[in-house]
Amino acid sequence: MKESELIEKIKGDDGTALRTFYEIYKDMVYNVCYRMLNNRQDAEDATQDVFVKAIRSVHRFRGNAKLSTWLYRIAVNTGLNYTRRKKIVAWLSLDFLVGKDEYFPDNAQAGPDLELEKNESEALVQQAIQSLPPRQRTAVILQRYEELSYKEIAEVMKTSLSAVESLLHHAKDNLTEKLTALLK
Amino acid sequence: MKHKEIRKKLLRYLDAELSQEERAEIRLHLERCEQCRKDIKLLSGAWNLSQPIRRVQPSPLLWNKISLQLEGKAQKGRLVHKVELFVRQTARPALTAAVVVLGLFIGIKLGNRVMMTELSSRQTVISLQSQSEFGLENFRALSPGSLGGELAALMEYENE
Ligand SMILES: [Zn+2]
Repeated sequence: MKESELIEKIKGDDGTALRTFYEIYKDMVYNVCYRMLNNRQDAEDATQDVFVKAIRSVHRFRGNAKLSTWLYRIAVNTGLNYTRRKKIVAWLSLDFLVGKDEYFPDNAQAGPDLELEKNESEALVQQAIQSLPPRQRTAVILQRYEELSYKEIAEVMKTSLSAVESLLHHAKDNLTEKLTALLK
Repeated sequence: MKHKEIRKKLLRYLDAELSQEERAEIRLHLERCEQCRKDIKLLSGAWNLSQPIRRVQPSPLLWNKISLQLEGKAQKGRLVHKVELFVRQTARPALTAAVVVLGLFIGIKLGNRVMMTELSSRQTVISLQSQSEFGLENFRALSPGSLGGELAALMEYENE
């Protein structure tokens, strides 16, 4: 099935098309969310949000971008929203409300899921990436984990090529400092 | 370039994102500087050797949750739900109470100043009236970045 066909069917609320759409893009969306949030449960919640948002607003999708670019954009924005929300909840000390262990099991160690990242140095890399400002972090994640080109990153982030270059430039310089410190 | 500047660029050096001249300069520096040689070895170990990066997979039940939510039958994600609950149960009543107290205070002050008890009670009535109408709009008026503004953004997100 061509992408345009799939989109038309999703617009028509075709159950099989919705499921196909999910099956094609679930890993992509989930992995971006996971890298943005560094926690599998949060990534799952965010992925749910991304698909619900995408399906509900598919009528707004114009064919001038790739479906994956559009979905990446929703995923990245959702991930950033979740990060902000997590910060607010932590700041308000709402742990009594949400139950710290249940909701933020990896807050205590401030690192990624240990079970998943058995590879220690990758865990350190993730930790360093998490500490970057939101837009630098987004650009690095899209480049490193999703292997997107500068041009694709620019499309997802709705910015210019030179802005992406500069974001990655600053991100890597920051990462060099953070990582060398962490690795010692 | 000095040692300090070179050090910052090591990751971009590894990712081949530097100009020819910069690369040459760094290569030359690495030959002479033991500290930078050590750092770049550590960095490349973490940055390059940790590839290929593992992909993760969502739980097989996720689609069920999504389709239930699409049908309007299921709950939103837990974090969203809890924050919403907090806003409804705690933040909004607290802010409402604060507005009422402020209204009363202004009412009394104003009343005292003009020495008219009638005006004072009217102010109180007005403030109580605005309290009953108190809703999301009041949050929206708060500047983004402030706590109220952030809560408003969360609520708005929910109402999308
Ligand atoms: Zn040096």
